[in-house]
Amino acid sequence: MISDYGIYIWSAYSITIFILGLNIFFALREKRKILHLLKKS
Amino acid sequence: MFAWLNKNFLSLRAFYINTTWLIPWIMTGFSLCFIYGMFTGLFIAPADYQQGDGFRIIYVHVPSAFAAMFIYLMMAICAMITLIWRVKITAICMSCSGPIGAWFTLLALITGSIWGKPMWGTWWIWDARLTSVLILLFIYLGFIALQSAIENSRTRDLATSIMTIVGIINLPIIHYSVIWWNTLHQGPTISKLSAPSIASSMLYPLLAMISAFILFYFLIVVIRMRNQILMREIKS
Repeated sequence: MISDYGIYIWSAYSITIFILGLNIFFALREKRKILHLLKKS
Repeated sequence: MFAWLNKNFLSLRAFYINTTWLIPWIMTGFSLCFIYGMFTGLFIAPADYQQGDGFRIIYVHVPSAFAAMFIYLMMAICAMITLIWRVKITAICMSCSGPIGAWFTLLALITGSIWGKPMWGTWWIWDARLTSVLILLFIYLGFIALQSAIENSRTRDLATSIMTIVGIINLPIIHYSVIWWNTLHQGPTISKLSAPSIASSMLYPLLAMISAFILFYFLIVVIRMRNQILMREIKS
């Protein structure tokens, strides 16, 4: 179990998950926009 | 040979069709590696005898730094293919990889900084390794800026390909910076040609996380490339 430096470890892991999530979010948002455009055209 | 390759794999249409079944497999591989790496890295791997639990940050720092360099290498290969054979799919791959590489480089710098504070006593130092990775981030940002500055797609592909190839000089500098200069950053641990100087109980989660990050890159780049292909379809 993590006993020391907890704040640093959890910060690093949270930021990592946030940035990975952000990448997925941007890619899927772009996809949704393009599919919307495709439906309209 | 090239015509066959182009028809079955390199054309935009073939790429779109071939990657439809690929995405769930990449997603599964990424999820398995990520869950295994996170769990064993955080809870199973033993604490380091000098750094204590603080060393667990390497399970996100090293994979993000590795991915940042790997993505740049992929971009440089794509740039060369684009320049020599004018293959459209590699130009799209290069343009979609740039922002992902920038995110991974930023992540490597942030997590390295978070590790540096408790271990070195400072968030940042102008060490050769840190500075060369910061330069890599600037190269990625320059790539994104150049890409959005040029309207004509042929000129844009040419300019970004040349820029990417010139920027590859930074990769060996990053890798060998800890050997060539006397740096605060530690030397190579797992990339040594002799046996890696890390215990296997610490190594396996690290390899799993590196695989997870590389699979994540492939996942995002394939999704974004498919988006670009659809976008071209709409414009044409």
